Amino acid sequence: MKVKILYFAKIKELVGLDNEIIDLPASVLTLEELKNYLILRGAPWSEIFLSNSATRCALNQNLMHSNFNIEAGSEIAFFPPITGG
Amino acid sequence: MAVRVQLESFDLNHILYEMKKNNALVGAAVSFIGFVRDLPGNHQSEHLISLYLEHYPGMTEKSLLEIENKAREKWHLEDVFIVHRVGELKLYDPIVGLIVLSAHRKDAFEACAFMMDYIKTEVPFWKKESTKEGSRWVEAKESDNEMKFRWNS
Repeated sequence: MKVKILYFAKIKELVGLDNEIIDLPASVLTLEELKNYLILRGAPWSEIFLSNSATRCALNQNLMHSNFNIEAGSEIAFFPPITGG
Repeated sequence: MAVRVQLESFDLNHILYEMKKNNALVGAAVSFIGFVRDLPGNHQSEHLISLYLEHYPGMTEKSLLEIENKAREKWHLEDVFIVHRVGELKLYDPIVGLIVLSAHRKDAFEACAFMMDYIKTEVPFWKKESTKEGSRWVEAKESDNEMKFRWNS
């Protein structure tokens, strides 16, 4: 299934992209599985998800605090802790 | 009720009086402005030159409206206005503005503080500071999370 991944702030700079469409293998069905799939690409994803456990995630523009199931067409965003205001 | 995310500056006093003028139930108005400030410390190289604000278009506006709705569930509010700037800001510039109108001051004071605590931790904005030495992303502060958690008790 295809999902849209968005990157923001420092993570966007590390990845060098603000978004990408990924066609996930059938074995990737949850956020944790997606992170592991991206970690296998090596740096910078390994750094983003392993060294920096503070990376935050939003699913379809909702801040998520735990694992979730991924559906086709989902918009999944990765970003550092929020520093607005 | 309005939420704005914009590049331009804002005049909160003008907006406040426009919001208030046709609402006879408003007995209290509380407003908050957050400004770009210099870095702490005395080194010349550590003076802030500019601040860049990135955000997540779509989620930003949605999160601000959700925070307003949460505040309206907890307090009796007549009207709310939230403005947050994005893009390149300079020292002294206003970053965020908030207006809360209610019948009584307690609702307005508390709702204003509550919404700012949530804006600091749940609305997808990120600050990048520039000094003579270069630029760096601002690190999130644990104290901001603690400010938010006080509303859970």
